[in-house]
Amino acid sequence: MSKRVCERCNTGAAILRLISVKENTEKVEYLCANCARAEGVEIVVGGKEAAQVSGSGETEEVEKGSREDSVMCPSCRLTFARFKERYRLGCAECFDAFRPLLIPLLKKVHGAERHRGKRFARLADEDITSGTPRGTWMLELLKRRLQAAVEREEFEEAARLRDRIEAISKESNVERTAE
Amino acid sequence: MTLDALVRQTPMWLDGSGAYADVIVSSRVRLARNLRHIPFSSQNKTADEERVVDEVLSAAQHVRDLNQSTYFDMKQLEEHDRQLLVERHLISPALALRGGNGGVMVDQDERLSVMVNEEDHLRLQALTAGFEPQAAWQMLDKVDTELCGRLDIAYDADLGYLTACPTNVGTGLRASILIHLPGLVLVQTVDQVLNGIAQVGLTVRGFYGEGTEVVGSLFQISNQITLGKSEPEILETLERVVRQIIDFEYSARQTLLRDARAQIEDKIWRSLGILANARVLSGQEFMNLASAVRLGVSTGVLKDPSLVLLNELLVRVQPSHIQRMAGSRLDSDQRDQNRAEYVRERFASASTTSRQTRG
Ligand SMILES: [Zn+2]
Ligand SMILES: [Zn+2]
Repeated sequence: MSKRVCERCNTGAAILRLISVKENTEKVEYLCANCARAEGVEIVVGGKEAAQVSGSGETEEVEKGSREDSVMCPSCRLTFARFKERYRLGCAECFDAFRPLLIPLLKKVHGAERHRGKRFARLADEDITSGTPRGTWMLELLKRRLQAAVEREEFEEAARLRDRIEAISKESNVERTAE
Repeated sequence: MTLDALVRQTPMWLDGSGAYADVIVSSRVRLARNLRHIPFSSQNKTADEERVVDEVLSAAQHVRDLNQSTYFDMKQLEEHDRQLLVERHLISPALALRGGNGGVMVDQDERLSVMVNEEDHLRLQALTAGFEPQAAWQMLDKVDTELCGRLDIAYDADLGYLTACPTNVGTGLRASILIHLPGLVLVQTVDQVLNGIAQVGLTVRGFYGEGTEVVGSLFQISNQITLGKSEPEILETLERVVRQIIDFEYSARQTLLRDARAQIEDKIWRSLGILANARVLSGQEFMNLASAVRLGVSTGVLKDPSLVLLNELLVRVQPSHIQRMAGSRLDSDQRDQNRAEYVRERFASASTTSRQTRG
């Protein structure tokens, strides 16, 4: 009898059958220990990992209720329940916190679970600030914020903004004379 | 560039050039990007939004294609003027509604724009005239490399670019083609032709975007899938399908002009007559009449007006543009009168010019 392979990672041996009930439809998946743990399922099979367990007849059935709903992103504190309501992630770290829950969803939406497009590449440090900075928006924006801070009598904030404005004006003056 | 200057100019993406200009108005490509260390819009606070603006604008000052552009701060704009930017396809309705610390960078000829603090921290967009999604992508790819390369972008080796909505994860790319299909609408096969589109991962929307009804036989066709395919692959699928739709449209137009020439010509000329003479014109009526005139121009039934003029009117006769040109608040009856007057003037001056050039 050949071993069943985990349906999530396609590498680990499937040790349990996970039945999740969502919106009255039942979804059945065979998962390895790692992927099951990522789903929030605790595995206790006679004190040892049931690596030798194979085939559907011997797998554990786990009813997964609303446990996934309480999974929370440690960074922005969005819960998976709240995500399901609004269908919007809260920050980059949500993808790590919810990854096992998100993968099936992404598969459904895109028919894929792996990025094959452009790779993000950060420019070299010396290139990031290369060239003459142009554009006056930053100055305008900071001046508006300064004015608002003064009006709100937030003088510490105002002082901080004044410093930034000065630094930026100086920088662009230097660049201009250098040209 | 001020809003008044913006209102007066014709954006480059409406200049009637590019491939298949007789069917395709424009091609648009956008990319969704986020900063890694700042919460996305649904979870962030004012201070977070300000940091996003700071970081993006500071980085953009070093990007050649962006640092001559204008930054429109949503907070500084009245609702009508935010709406005006929506009408020019420079910002999304969502950003206009959201206000807050959002804004948009717009380059001189309105080909590139970068929305800040929309649903994602960054939404970069490139617009071109005609059927040129590859050209739009190349332009945007370069700006993305230059701008986002200076930022700490939320990117995952497996999932690609991380976005607020799962439907944008991966490439973050949405390409859409604004296509005019009066032939298919008239022979009543448009539903049939567009129905199969979902199966290849594409969607169809109306001119005004998501959830809007189709007016003036204008449709937007865009990709739905962003994960698991490269950007060129996504564009190729879109191009392949759109090319088929273009062929269907051409043959529908041929059929119409062969089997019902008199009726079609009548419809086109009457539409031109109304546009050139009406005293009251609603937005909806304009769209439908202009659609017939556009069909006339692209099939050679009419010599003028030009496609450029029709394209330009598409943007200029929308409510916030009418309002801005009037310089005062107008109710919808008054807007319909101003719209009619503006269209009449433009048609009159266009036909004088063409009579003169013809000698
Ligand atoms: Zn697994
Ligand atoms: Zn989070």
